[in-house]
Amino acid sequence: MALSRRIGRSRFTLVLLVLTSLTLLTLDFRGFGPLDQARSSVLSVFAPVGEGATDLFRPVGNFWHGAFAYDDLQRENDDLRAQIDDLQGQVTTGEVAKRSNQELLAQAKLPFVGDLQTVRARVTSGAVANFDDTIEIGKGSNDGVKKDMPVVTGTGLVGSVVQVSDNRAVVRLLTDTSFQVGVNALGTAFNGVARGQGTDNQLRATMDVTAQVTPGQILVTRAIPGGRFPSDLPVGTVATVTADDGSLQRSIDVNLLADMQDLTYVSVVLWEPTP
Amino acid sequence: MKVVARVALVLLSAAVLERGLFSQLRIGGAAADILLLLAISAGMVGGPDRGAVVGFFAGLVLDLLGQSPLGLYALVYCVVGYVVGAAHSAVVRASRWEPMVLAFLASAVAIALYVVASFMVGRSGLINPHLLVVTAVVSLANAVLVPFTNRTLRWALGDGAGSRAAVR
Repeated sequence: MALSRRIGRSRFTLVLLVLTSLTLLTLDFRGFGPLDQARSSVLSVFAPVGEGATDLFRPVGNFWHGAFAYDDLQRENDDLRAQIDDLQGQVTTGEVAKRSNQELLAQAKLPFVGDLQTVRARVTSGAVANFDDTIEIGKGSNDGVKKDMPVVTGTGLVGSVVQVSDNRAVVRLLTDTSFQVGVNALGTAFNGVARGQGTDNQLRATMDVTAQVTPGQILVTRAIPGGRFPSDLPVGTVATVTADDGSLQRSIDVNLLADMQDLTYVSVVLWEPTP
Repeated sequence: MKVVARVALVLLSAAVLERGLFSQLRIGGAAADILLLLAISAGMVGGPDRGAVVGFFAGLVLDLLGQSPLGLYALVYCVVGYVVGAAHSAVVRASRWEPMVLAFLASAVAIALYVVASFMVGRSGLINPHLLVVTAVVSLANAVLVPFTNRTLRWALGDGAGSRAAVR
């Protein structure tokens, strides 16, 4: 008797909690303001504590990274050595200093964003949950950052702002499975939509079957009225193009231009869609 | 009241550890999910009722820290906490390895449930090779860490949970 009463109470608790969760989900999907506010408040309060903890445990993280990503480090090291060799060769010709200086300046000014204003921000951490492809940056609404603003590096688009507090913001990366961006092949009128695949440095785009795209071609953002991106932000290069028989769309694998595994600084483009 | 404060402290500490430590200790891009482990441990230590409640709040913390639809992790973790509590209660003679096996299986089920729930709210694309890595890493890490979280939750949930565990 007591046992069945206890089971009944447990089920009642479970049903109540499930209903509460569903209510929260519904409110979130409807864009209920206070929930968004709650997330921003958690970000402002928790970010400094989280950063402190990250710094505290960084030696452990570094040791772990060294142990479990030894192959990656080795490859990175080899690449860097090769780059050093190349650069040393160029130094002898006396051109490298001038050229790299110009490249650095060009990178800092992000010429592909044209006259748009940007805010440079340090990446303070990665995602907490396993299925989120996000980064946290050290700039927020006090610096003019707003929700949905595009985020770039010197090489291309990396994502868009999804959460903002006074001094912090969360950026959803292009690789997130919920990320979509309108693209067009540079220099053509072929439009499509690129989506994150949850894997490193690759997107999948779909375009009309008549679109003539070839591997190596650059894809850039396409501005649409009320859309989240200005036009011509570089996204990636076409890796492979496949078209199923009978399908009206081509499937395109896109290699991202920005390196998602190596984000230390990013720039938020202070651009808002015109209604 | 004391139990609520202790559980809140445990959840907060877990959130700090998840953000500060475990998010840095990744294998193949996947990290241990200590908040899921708390839901599982609460089910084992405190039964289905407490498992569901702790699971709900653990999930809610992860929802607030991450960018998933608010309430999604709360929904999944409260169900997992409840199911683990019910399954653990049904075991007549628990072996030394039973909590580890249960934590491993419950973690895998929780991830599958999250993917299904995500799909139902319109977030597709989670079924990819990375899902296998996440499932393996989270399940193994939780199986290894469960003795520690069980002990912590026995303290947090108070004497009732402690004596219940002692009877086992």
